[in-house]
Amino acid sequence: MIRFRLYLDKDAKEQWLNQMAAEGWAMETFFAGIYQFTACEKGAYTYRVDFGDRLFSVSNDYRELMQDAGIQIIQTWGYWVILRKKASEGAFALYTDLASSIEHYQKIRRMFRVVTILEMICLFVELYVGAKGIMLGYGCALLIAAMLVAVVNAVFQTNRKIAELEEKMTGISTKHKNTYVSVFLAVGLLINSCAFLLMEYIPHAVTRGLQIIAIAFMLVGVAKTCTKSLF
Amino acid sequence: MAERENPLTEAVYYILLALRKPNHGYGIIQEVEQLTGGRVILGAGTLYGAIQTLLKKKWIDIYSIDTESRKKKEYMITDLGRQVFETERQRLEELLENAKLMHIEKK
Repeated sequence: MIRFRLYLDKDAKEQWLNQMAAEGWAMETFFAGIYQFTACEKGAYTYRVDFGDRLFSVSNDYRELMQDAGIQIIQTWGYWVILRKKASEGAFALYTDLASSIEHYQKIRRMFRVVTILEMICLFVELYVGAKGIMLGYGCALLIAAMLVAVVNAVFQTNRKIAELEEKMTGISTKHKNTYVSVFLAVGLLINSCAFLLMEYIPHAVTRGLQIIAIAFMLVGVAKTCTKSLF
Repeated sequence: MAERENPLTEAVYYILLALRKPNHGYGIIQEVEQLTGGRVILGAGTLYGAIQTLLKKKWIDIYSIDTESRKKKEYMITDLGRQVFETERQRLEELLENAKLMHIEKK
């Protein structure tokens, strides 16, 4: 069975994988947002998502440790590692104290920050191409902008998680901003991007229609972002 | 060697203790569980991260990699690690000593 989902939030992804396992579907492979499941006994496995030090691979030490602990390495994707353990063998938690949990999220946040910078560079490159008269540039720029919005939101969410954990650890409550970027903005940019990229292949009216929908989404997105962030 | 005067986390404290004798990754988890009567069960992620950090700080070292026989990679505490552990032990002793006051000065 195949499902398609895009997750930047590892906790949300974990929750979904465990939900699927509870319904009798165990994830076996993953590729660019496409998840493949095979049938299993309901609740047979507990899934966890880890963040490693290597791209698309894990060290021998890691592999050995997981093997000894009865944890199966299912898939690596970028720095992400998807693991599972048989539920019958007991509870499965990767990070059992606050300090290591915080380190885990800090590593994730660092990756999102680097991706943000890389995407901003790509964005400027595409804007430059577009300014030179190649419409494809603007189309790609919008696509990258959509991805950029998603990643920046991921940085904000990870910040919030780290702040919550640090608060638990030190007992000091810090007043942190609950910033977030609305998904409407990303979707709007995506629709706008499609409009640009397909401009030469679809009727003018359709392009205009898409652009209007896109701008509507973007406005809603900006409004939601500002109101949520100001509380 | 300017020692950091920061307290050790419980996980690091017990990992150092478990590595007074050579041990491998999962063996550490089992030993710590036994030493604490099941109270502290280290997660695999916590342990892996801690080992990497302790290796970098040179508080532990690789004891042996026997590539001939399929023996697991083992770690062991270093002299520096023992120093750090001793500093921590003294800190804990001081804490416990002062804890007696709570009882003595009770109205």
